[in-house]
This record gives sequence, C-alpha cells and structure tokens, in this order.
Amino acid sequence: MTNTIKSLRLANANTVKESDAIRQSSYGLEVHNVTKKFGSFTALDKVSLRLEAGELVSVVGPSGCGKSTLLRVIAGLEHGESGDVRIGGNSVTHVSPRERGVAFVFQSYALYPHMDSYNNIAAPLVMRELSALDRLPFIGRLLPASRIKHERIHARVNEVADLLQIKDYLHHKPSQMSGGQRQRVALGRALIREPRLFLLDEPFANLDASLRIHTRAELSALQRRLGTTTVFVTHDQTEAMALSDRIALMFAGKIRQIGTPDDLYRNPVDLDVAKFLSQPHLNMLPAEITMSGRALIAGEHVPFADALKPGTHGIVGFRPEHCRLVPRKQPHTFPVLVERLEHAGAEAHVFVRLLATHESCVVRIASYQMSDWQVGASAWLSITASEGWYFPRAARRREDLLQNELVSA
Amino acid sequence: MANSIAPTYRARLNATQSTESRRAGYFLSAPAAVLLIILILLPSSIVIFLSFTDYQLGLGETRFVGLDNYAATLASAEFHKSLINTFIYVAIVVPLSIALGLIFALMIEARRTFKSFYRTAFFLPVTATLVAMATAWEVLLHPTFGLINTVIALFGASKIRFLSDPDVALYAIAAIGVWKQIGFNMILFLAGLSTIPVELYESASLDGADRGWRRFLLVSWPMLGPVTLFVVVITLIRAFSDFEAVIVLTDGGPIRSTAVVLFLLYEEAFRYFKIGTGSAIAVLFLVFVALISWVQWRIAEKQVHYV
Amino acid sequence: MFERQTNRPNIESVVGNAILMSAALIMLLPFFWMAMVSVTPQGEVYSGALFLTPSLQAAQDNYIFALSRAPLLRYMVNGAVVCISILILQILIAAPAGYALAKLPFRGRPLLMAGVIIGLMIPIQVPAIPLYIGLAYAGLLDSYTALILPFIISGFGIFLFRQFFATYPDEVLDAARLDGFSELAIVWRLMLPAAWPAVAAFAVFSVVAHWNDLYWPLIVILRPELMTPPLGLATFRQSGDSAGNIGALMAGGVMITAPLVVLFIFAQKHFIRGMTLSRGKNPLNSKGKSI
Repeated sequence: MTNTIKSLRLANANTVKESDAIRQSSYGLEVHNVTKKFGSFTALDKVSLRLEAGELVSVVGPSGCGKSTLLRVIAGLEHGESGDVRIGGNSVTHVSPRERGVAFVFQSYALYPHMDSYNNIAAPLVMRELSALDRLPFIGRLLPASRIKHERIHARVNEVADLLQIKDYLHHKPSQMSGGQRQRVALGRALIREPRLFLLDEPFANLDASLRIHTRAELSALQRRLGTTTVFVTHDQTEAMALSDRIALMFAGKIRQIGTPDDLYRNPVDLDVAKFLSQPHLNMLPAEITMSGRALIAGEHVPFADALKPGTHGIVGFRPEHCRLVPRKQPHTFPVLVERLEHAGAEAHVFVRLLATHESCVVRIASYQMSDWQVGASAWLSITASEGWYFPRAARRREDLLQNELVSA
Repeated sequence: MANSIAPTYRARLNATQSTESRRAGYFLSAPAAVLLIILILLPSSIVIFLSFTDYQLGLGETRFVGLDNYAATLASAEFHKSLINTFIYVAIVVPLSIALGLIFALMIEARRTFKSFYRTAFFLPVTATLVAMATAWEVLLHPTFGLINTVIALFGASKIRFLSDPDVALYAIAAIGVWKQIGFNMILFLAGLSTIPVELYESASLDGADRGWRRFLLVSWPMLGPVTLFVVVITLIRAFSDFEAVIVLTDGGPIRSTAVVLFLLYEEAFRYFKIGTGSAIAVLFLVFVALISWVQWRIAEKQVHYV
Repeated sequence: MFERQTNRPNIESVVGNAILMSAALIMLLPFFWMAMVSVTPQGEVYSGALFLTPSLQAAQDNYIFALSRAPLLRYMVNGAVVCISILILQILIAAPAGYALAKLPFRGRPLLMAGVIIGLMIPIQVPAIPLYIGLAYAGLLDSYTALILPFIISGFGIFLFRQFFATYPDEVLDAARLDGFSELAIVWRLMLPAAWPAVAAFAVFSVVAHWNDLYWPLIVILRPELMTPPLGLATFRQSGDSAGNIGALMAGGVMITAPLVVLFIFAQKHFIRGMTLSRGKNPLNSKGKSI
C-alpha cells in the first residue's frame, strides 16, 4: 500500500522518469449486461463495459443517458436488476459499497461539511483502520496500539497532502475553500486509501474554464503514475477526448460505441455518435445512393469515400472541418448563401444555407480568413470526399465494429 | 439541469431495493418505534380503555362500566365548576397574551435601541421555573405586605386578598398565566415579522401606507396570518394545560374557585386514585387537543400562503 | 430600521421606549422582588415597605436557613441528573430514528412517521395514568427511573432531527458509505455534528421543560431525596419547613431559578430557538433573519 505512495513521492521528485512509473494496479473492471430500472424508466439497458487494469475510460453522453447511474452501480450505491460487476476478476455484485475498494469523486465533491480538509482526507482510513475504541475522542490517543495507528494515518494524510499540494489548507473547512481546493481535497480523500478503482463523476464540472484545463492535465498525469483503473463520467466530449484511453459513448441507457478517442472521432457508428462529437455541430444532408453507388445530394452527384449501399436513402454527415467554401463554382459544389459568421479564436465558423434545399451547414475556416466572406454573399460549398460518412436510414453505419467491441467483454 | 437531477431523485425512491439500507432503517428506528409504542401510544390507548372501567389501583377486580365515568364526570357539579374556571382562565390568558405579545413585538421591531434588552426581559418568564416565580408572585400579591397591595394602598384603595378571595383568585392566577405567556407569543410574532420581505414594506410605502397603523393593516397583519394561527393554537393548548400556579398557590381554592380541569384530573387520578374518572377526564382532554389540532390543520390547509 | 428618518427625533420613539420600558420592568418585577426579598431582613418585608433595604446579614440568614431546612442543593443535583439523563437518552434514541426517517427507505417508514407526529401532539397528562400504574407495578415509583423513563422518547426530537437531517446532501452520505462509515457512524460522526444548532436548540427545549416540570415529579416522587427543584420548592413552601420565612423561601426560589436564567442570558439565541421549537415547522431553517 505505502509502496505506491513512496513511488509517487519519488516520481514527484522527478527522480523517476514518467515512462518508468509502474502501473501497479492489477484490477481491471468488467460490467456485464447490467440493467437498472427506476420504475418504468430504464436507466441502464444491458450495459457491458470492460476496462483493462490501469486504463482510463470516459463514459460520455447527454444528461440523463445513464452514465452517472452506471458509475453508481459500479460503486455499489445502486443495484442493477440483472447483470454482474467484476473488479479484478471477482464479482462484487453482492458486495457492499464499503467493501468494493473503490473511490468515488462526486461532482459536488461531497466533502464532510463540518470537518476540515485533514479530517476529510483522513476519514476513509479512520473509518476503515481504527476500531470504535481507537476512535474515541481522548481514550483513543492513550492506547499505545491506537496511537501508532493514529500516527500512521497522520503520516499518510501528510503524504497525500504533499502530493496534491494542499498542505496550506489542511485545516480549512470546505466552506472556507475555493472550488479548486475542494476538488483537490476530494481527490485526496479518494487517493488516500489506494483504491482498486477510481470513479469520477464530472469532477471538473464546477470549476471555471482555465482551472478545468489545468486540473485535467494534473489528473491525467496522476492517474498515469498511479496506474489505477479509472472510470470517468462527463458530459463534456472535449474533456473525454483529452483524458481518456478509451471513450464509451452512452445514449438512453445503452453504450452506443466504445473506442479510442481517435476511433470515435473518425469512425462513428451512427449519426448520434457523430453528432455528439462535433463542434459546433455536425452537418447533415439527406442523400440518396443511386443504383450505380453514387451519392445524390441536393441534386448533385458527389463522390464519397465512405461505403455507400446502392439504392438506399440516408444522411450524409460531415464535420465543419470536412468542407470548405470556394468563391467560384467548381465540380461537385453546392451554391450557398452566407448567413452568419462566428469568431471562435484561432478558427471561425461560417454558417451557410444551401440555395437548392434551404438546408444549413457550418464551415470551419481559419479566423484570419473571416474577412474573405460577408453575410449575404454567395459562395460554393465543397465537401471533402475522403471525409464524412454516410448513415443509411434506420441502420448503423458500422454494425461490425459495435459487435466486436462490446461482445469481447 | 432538471434532466440530470431527475434520475438521482428516482434513485432515492428506488433505493428500497437495497436490502442493506432497509435493514439499517429498521435497526436505527427500532428503539424509537418500540419506546414510542410503550411510552406514548400504548398508554394513551390504555387510558381510553380505563375510562370505561372502575379500575382501582391495588384492587383486584375491575368491571367494565361503559360510559358511567363520563356520565358521572359530565354530571358532577365539580366538573362544571372546573370547566367554567378553565374557560374563564383561557378567555383571559389567550386573548391578552396574544394581543400583548403582538403589540410588544411590533413595538420592539420598530425600536432601534434596547431591542435586545426588551426581548430578554419579555422572554425571561418563559424560561424561569414557574413554581419559583409563582411563589414570588405570591409575595408580591400578599394581602398585607405585598408590594402590589402597598401600591394600591398608596392610592387610597383598600387592599385586595388576591389569592384568598374566591372572587379574585382565578383572575390573579390568570394574570400570572398572561405574564408567563406574553414573551413566548412575542418571540413567535417577532420571528414572523422578520420573515416579511422588505419589498412588501417598500411597495406599501409607495402606496402611501408607509408607517403606523395603515402599514400594519396592509402588510404586517395579513403576512402574520400563519404565525397567528399557530400562536392561537399553542396558547390555547398551553392555557388549558396550565395548573402549576394553581397547585402551588391555591390548591384549587378558595372554595374551588381556581380548580381548573387539569387540576381536577390530577386530584381525581393521583390524590383520590379514582383512575376511571381521571382517565375519562384525560380522554376528554385528548379529544380537545385533537380537535384543536384538527381545526388548525384545516385552517392552515385553506390558508393562502403569501411567502 | 432602515427607513426611519433621522430628522424626526421621535416623540414616537420616546413614547415607545417609555411604554416598553415600563412593561419590561413589570415583567422583571417578580425576579427583582424575589431577589430583593431573599436578601432583606424578615421584619422589613413584613412591614410592607415600598423600598427594601438589603443587608448582607439578612442574605446570609435567609440563604443559610433555606439550605439548612430544605436540601435545595440535593434537589438541584437531582434536577441536573434527571435533565441530563433525559437529554442524553432522548438524543441517543431520536437521532438514529430521525436519520432513518430522513434518509433510509424502509417499509413502515410512513407508519413510524405518523406515530411520531401523533406522539408529539399527545400531552403528558394523557398517558400519565397508565404510565403511573405501570411504574407502580414495576415497583419503580419514587426512583430516578420513574422521573426519567417516560421522557426518553421524544416525538418532537425525532421530528426535529428528521427535518434537519433531510437537508443533508445525499452525495455526502454516498461518499461516507464508500469511505467505510457504518450507518450508525454516519449518525454520530456526520449527521449530529452537522446539525448542531438543532441539537443545541433541542437541548435547551428539553432541559428547560424537565428542569421546570412539576406535574410528573409531583405524581411519582414522595421521597425528599429524589425531589426535583420545583417539587422540592413547592414542598418547602407548603410543608411549613420554611416556617413562614419568606426570605428563605425566596432564597430557595432564586437558587433554583438561577441556573436557567444565567444560561438564558448567556445563550439567548439557543434558548429562544429551543423554546420556540414547537413551531411545527423547523424554525431553525426558516428564511427569517435571526430573531
């Protein structure tokens, strides 16, 4: 147990290179076919998920999709109607939350309001390692055996405080600390007992933007060093993309796709997934695939790299960066009207409307190019043929992939 | 946001499925549930049962006598007398202590200086031991050397035998009851006044009711509705249950002029050990309390809530 | 307050203060007079003087007389033992139940809640007779048990704690369960410390009620060495032990009233909250400013 912290301190002191940090945790996580209902509402619908030891997987999805419920089922705070949860290969479905050895960081941090940081961080050890007798206010300190225990806890709280750099406010109560400080204390409380699993429920949601990015980087580094298997729930796709080894995308109680950030971004299984991972949003145009296998969009035949099933109808989806605006007509372009321009820092978004079908699209350009386009101007939209996807109506784009990923569990 | 809260709420309702927390629920509430039954609910049911019997402590045989105890109680002159005494007592204590409590609360609220002194002074009788304070009142009211009679004599009036004159004693006891209750009501009204939003006073002053009586009628009084209802109910129940001053100072006398209903209950049950009669009076008292609570509940239900 | 104009130097304010001040003095008169009589020579009190002149000698005489004729200190110790025992047991029983009612779903919870509400509305005079008979059969009359037992369950305490605990965030409870807190540890280590204003107010409510109570001790206690302060003083007054010594009687009154009055002056806020707790809703949470 203390080994990890020792190695951490070493790592902290930069005597060990990042690459040498040992992935110690040998606990993987398997969620198998878990179903959870609240009355008639199905929060989790046969959800399966598998994490390798040391992996960080984000569970992402819109609010109400069941991602927090999944985390609570893993922690044992909720019980599914069916299915199994295994930690390190052993089923914990009938094990109480306290014995599962998982640490949970809540969105609200859930610090004990009347305790200072020190006692908040110490609480898991105090409750687990001290007997009721040890915990008595004065007597506890007098018994030699329990004094040793108290001293050991004291030492470990200090180690964790060092690691998270929270020594300065160890004696502040939650109400006296900023959101970022509270977040660190909550992390400290999770770290101290060296859990088998970290379960993080939107831990950055209450931080302001700059702090969020900073903390995100720190958490990522920390997790890599500790090598603790981590499930990270967020509704923020950017956060998930930035942090995760893999991402599981949930909709309405089901995991729709799971894969590396790159895989999800480049190869969405369906329209929902593609939409969720697009900013500001996914462009969608109705398409018809001719018998000759060409895409007919808004009266234009457009060459397309994605698999196209002849004789079907569906939607062509492409991201704002998968298209461009040209001032003059070229082959396979659509005439559009520029409706709006939005500056977004390094880039900018041009909102246009197709003259033929009145569908709107958004195009990403570099912000220095903004002056090239005026609201009300005419232009031509060109879709990059090698990017973008075709989503047949009422079917998944990649049935194959979904099967492989999920059933492996 | 509402979306993300909904599942958590459902989770709470649904956690019934966790046998562990259910077991903890039973375990933690069991002592309270058992004691609640043994010490309150069961005895209260037994008292109803006893009121239909001629039970005597220590005597073997107990007969079921139906409504005899009630009939005898309701027919007895002593009960009538105590009922009248109680109503006089209540009719003095309830309106006076509420009106004075409200007036003092409004006056204190309007002050800038000595606020906390006034609050302390008015509330002190509520916390003080009534037995001791009743004795102090007895000294103040003493027919020969009591301060109050000395003052009366200064004005040339004849001294009053406050606690030994059957025509006066009940009023003297009621005065002590008012003295004890004013502070309690005042604090409740002050609490009620402090919840009235400042904006209401501001808009009232725009309407021309910026101070005094008009402001009170327009804003304070309507807003105090719920508090007033509560004050009335609690004062009623307290006034009906008061009997410590009686027991200490007059023991129901002189010539039963201060024997209130609860004093009678005490006498019957614990002095003469007429358990059946005592129980019948206790049940009547329970019915009375239940009735008042029910009326309060009905009014509160209909009441418009402003805040 | 804020809207008061400063240029109206206030006939109203002067009149208001005059009225309130006289009323306050009347309210305080019995306290003042009790204290004065307790330190004034007997003869002067009997003369019906308007202004009493206290003397150290008289004070000594009166207090020593009171203490020698009635075991007043013993009564006060009894009062303390009874009040503290009742309070501790009430909290030990009510806090877990309040927590279960607020946070743990179990079958029968609505039933228990109904029982608690009924229980808090029933005045002690109603179950008094059967309780008395029960204690008599158990041979427990005239004992500390008789003084304490009927009050260890407080429907009011359970209700108050339930209201307070219900506002505690559920996520913190989940965190506690993961951290290894047992449900009982949650009650003692998290709930009660966080609800300490409620505990303080309840303590005041309970201690004031039982220190001052005459009714129940009068029924179950005969032995002088078990009497509580009010019963002791009432007995002292009636028994002739005071031998018509009004100064001594007042000295006794001062002694048994003093603890609560002194506490009240130092912890007014908690006292006022505690004494007005019976406001159905939870006054500690009311949006009103502190009063």
